[in-house]
Amino acid sequence: MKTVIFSAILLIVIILAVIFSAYYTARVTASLDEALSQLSVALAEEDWDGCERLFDEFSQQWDKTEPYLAILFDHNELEDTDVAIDYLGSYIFLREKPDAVAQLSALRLSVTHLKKSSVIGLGNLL
Amino acid sequence: MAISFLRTVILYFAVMVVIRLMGKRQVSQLTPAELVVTIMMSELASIPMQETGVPLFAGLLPISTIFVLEIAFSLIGLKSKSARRFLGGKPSVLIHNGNILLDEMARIRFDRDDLMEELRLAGYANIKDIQYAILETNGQLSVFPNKAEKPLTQKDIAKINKPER
Repeated sequence: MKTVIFSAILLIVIILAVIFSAYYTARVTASLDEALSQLSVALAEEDWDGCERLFDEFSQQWDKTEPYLAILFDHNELEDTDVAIDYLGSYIFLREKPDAVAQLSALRLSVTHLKKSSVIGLGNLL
Repeated sequence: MAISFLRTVILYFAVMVVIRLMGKRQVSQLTPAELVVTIMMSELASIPMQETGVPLFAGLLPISTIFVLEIAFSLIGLKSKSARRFLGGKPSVLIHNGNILLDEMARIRFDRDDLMEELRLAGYANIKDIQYAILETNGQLSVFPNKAEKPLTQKDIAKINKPER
């Protein structure tokens, strides 16, 4: 009977963990994508000071959330995102618009992929 | 290195707890469903142990899910005979009154050599000596010899010693 109670509690914990992780991932990735969207507008206008400020904000946000995302996602994927962030920072610092735009696009793809990979759907199930 | 060590310790205890809670059966007594669960669990535990890039959660969550499913299905099996048959299969009679039931052997794809090997291991060389041979759901063969081949019991000795009136 103890085992049944334990497994019932475990099932509730699993369901709550799955719901919370899906909610957390959706919230965090939406926030990160929003920050990158603002950065993309600043980059299009070549507002480099604005870009640096927005990039710093994004980096800080990423540094805060990455340890929690590491619980849920492949660490190699997160490391690739780290590398992409570093590249973007350098391109913004060097005022290299074409490279920065391309890197920003790749970074947005990485962030949205995190969200997509946690969505319950046929694409992920099969 | 330290991460691998700590992950291994965590996963070892997680698997040990789950196996312990699932029951006291030995490996040789596992039904097909239980064997599949055990193999899957060991595989799930070994991946996050070796690959530090894989989140620990990615190993612990499926192990916990399998444990919950295993408990749920064993409870269903306790309540329902048909569910128990579906999950664990049913025993197959392979020999009846010294005759091999070839249709049943073909159905479960159990060949004559395997049957003879199991019978020899049980101490019987001649099929005619066997009343029943039943292949159990855990893969073991239960052999019931003919009356003439059964060893002498205390009851038989008592019958012999009992003076006839």
